[in-house]
Amino acid sequence: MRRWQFLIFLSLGVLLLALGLFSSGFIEVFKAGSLLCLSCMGLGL
Amino acid sequence: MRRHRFGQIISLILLNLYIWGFFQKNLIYTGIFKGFLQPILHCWSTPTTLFSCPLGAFQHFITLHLLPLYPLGLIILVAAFIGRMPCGWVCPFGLLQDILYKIRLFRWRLPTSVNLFGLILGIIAGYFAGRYKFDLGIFVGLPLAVFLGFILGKLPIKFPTNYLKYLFLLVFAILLAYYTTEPWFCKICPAGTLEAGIPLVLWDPENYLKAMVGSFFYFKVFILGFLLINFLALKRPFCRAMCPVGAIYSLSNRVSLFHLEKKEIDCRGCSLCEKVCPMAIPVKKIPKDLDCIRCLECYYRCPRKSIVIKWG
Repeated sequence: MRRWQFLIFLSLGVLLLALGLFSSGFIEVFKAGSLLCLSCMGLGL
Repeated sequence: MRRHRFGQIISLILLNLYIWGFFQKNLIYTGIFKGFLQPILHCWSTPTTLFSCPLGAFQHFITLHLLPLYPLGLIILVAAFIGRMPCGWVCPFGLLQDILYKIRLFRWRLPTSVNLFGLILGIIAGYFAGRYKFDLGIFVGLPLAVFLGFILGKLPIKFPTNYLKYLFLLVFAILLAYYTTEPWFCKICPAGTLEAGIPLVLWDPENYLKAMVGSFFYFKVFILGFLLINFLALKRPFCRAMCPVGAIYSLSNRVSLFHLEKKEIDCRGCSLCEKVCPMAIPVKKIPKDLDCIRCLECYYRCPRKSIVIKWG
């Protein structure tokens, strides 16, 4: 039972990661900087 | 020294390899490695880090009204193999909590539940304050919900404290991020304040950032200060009640390939596993609890070796 649940979880992870990377996820994370940078400091508020 | 401490220290070094960032004009690394996500909470803006925070990336996708496939896929993939182990062996904020708890200045116990009515009352107050000015809603709602939740904790209609992290994930990282298009957990994140906000503002040689500091920065510092005091008295309160990354990881603890099992027949109920557990998991729930961070302390310290490691 646990092995099946693991396989489902693993497949879901691989699928989401692959979809994320193919839909320019890497580039989006790379570009996320300016928004996250100001947020971490709570600046401009 | 505890075995997982080695993992935490090595991870701390590996996650902060951009140490020469302090000698650069551009303090934050913005090269190609920033496209890669590390598997734990570690702020994007930390001056020494090369990689990105999965929660920051998660919220970034939500603010763009896109599905956070990349960060979610990475966390689920890691979690499928080792469950919540990165929280115990990799996370620098977890290491900070472990170290501060060692100081033993005073001891409290994190209540097992908070009052749901108190939480809702705080959220409603925050909602009405937020209608006047959005930031005010956070200023009022968050401290009030926490205060009322804990102060009324003995009354009926309880909400488990360990489930608060799912509430933080839902409210700050998903709902507020979606509707306001701003990463609200990043704005209150104590790890971000400590690792990035305070160092960047203090380091700022041209006083550019200092000029931008507003009331929200001080609110973040207040949250951090409040939690630091709690770290001295409680076992990993942030990981147990607040961390949204831990919340996602914990969902996989019952299915992960690597896990621990207890041979009940060998257990004498000495509770040593509970005493050494950095997450204060009750002995009857060890090691199947959703909050188990696989630090393996119970496995190594059990005098009767009743806890065993299982693969599959």
